[in-house]
Amino acid sequence: MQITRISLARAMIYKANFLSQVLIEIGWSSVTLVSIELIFTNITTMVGWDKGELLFIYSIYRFSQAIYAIFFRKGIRELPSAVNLGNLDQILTKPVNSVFLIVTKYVALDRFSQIIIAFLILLYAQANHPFIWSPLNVSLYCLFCLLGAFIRFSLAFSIHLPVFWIQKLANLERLEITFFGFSRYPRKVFPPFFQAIFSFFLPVLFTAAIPAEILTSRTPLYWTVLVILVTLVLFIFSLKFFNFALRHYSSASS
Amino acid sequence: MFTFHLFPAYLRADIQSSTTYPGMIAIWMFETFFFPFTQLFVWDTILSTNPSIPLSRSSLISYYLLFPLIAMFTGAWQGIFFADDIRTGAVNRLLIKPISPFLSMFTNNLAEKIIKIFFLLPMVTIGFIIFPQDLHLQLSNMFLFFIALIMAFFINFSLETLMGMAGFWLDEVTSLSNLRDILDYTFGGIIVPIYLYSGIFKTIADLLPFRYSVAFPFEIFTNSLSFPELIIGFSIQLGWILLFTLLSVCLWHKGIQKYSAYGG
Repeated sequence: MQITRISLARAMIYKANFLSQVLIEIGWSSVTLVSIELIFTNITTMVGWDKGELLFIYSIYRFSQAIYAIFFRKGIRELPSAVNLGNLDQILTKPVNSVFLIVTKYVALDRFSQIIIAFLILLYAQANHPFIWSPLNVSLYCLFCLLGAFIRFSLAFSIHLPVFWIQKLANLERLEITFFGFSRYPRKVFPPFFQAIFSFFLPVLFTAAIPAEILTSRTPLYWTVLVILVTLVLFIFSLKFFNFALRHYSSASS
Repeated sequence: MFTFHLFPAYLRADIQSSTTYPGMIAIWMFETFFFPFTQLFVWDTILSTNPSIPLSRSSLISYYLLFPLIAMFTGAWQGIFFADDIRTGAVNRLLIKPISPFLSMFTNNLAEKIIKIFFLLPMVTIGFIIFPQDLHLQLSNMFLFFIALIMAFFINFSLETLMGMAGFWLDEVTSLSNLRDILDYTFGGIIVPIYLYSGIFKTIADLLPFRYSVAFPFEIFTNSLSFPELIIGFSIQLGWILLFTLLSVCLWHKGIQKYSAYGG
């Protein structure tokens, strides 16, 4: 709560910056929406998914991205500079879990607009392809958005950890953005080899594409357990990887 | 200041500077290649299930495999950095040197391209191994293609320079850069091949400069344009270059008049 209060105050100091962030988020969402519109002026379905269903995948992607952006992204993106400047000492010496401190240092409330945008995308998806919102589906949808955010956190955190060995890698976030681009499309758009890579090696497809398959009954419901398992395994892996990387950290004095 | 005799020395220095961060350049080039590569799979699947789309598989593959190379050759990125130099006073060191700041930006851009090609070319080669294509190279097309490529570069370079000039009046030009990227992705033919644009989207794409950065050179490369379309395309490229360059020069003179050097 304390962190949230401080972050809110910080976000409100620079109101113009807050507003420009909102406009940028709307702009980038528009890129994907325009692209989907252009795609569907030429086709009616993409590997059996219509426009509304594609937007449904995108809504899950956006919700999970929004949760990740609000709670985790800023802290993770500051990890490289914390390692290179030796500021990590201030975190490691505190009597609180280091990973928790690194990733929750900021609550980026200026990204809250992403939640609203994701909701609008969901409404647009619903208008194009009505979904049945039973209590089970609503619960699963919320669960998948949360799990997607944690998968995103685990992968993004792991992607940034090579900075402990190779200091001059300030743009590791570009890898994160590149890989997660896969998860906006139905799984079957990609050849089997890529499906396997992005399901079980870099499981980005579990953030949106596979949850959408479960919710639209293209994949059995018990795959939900697999999504939960993948999230847990990734999360534990990222923590273990961080502990391993810490052995190669040497302070630059603080 | 046309101090071209200093060009080789500056280029050498910028090449040395660019090799300091090979890991970062590798990541940028991976992103430059991988995003279009992803779109290639998406559109390949779409084409295989929708044969009525007016785009051949061969054209699609060539489009998305050559896209990263063309994008890299025509790319420019100095806007944010130049605006930041103005804000922090670091531009002072450019003003007192015996070289035009614009030539300095150009050598930096060229130096990075020389380094980037070593990372990008192997990735594109792997792409062509996975998707073998006969590119049907024709000498007459190649000459016009290179002209279009150079003009596309100057569109991007002059636009980035113009954005950098905003640093004399704005504290932050990141929003401008984001707006440019958003328009580029939407109307530049990155996510959807430019051939498939229709209606209002096509009209806007034809008017804005972004489709002339990558898609237009590619269309020349694949001999997809008639002679009148070539003339119109080159004219629009030239028009945008002149517009952005003139605006940049005007803003530079106005900006320098009001600039107060501090820090740096």
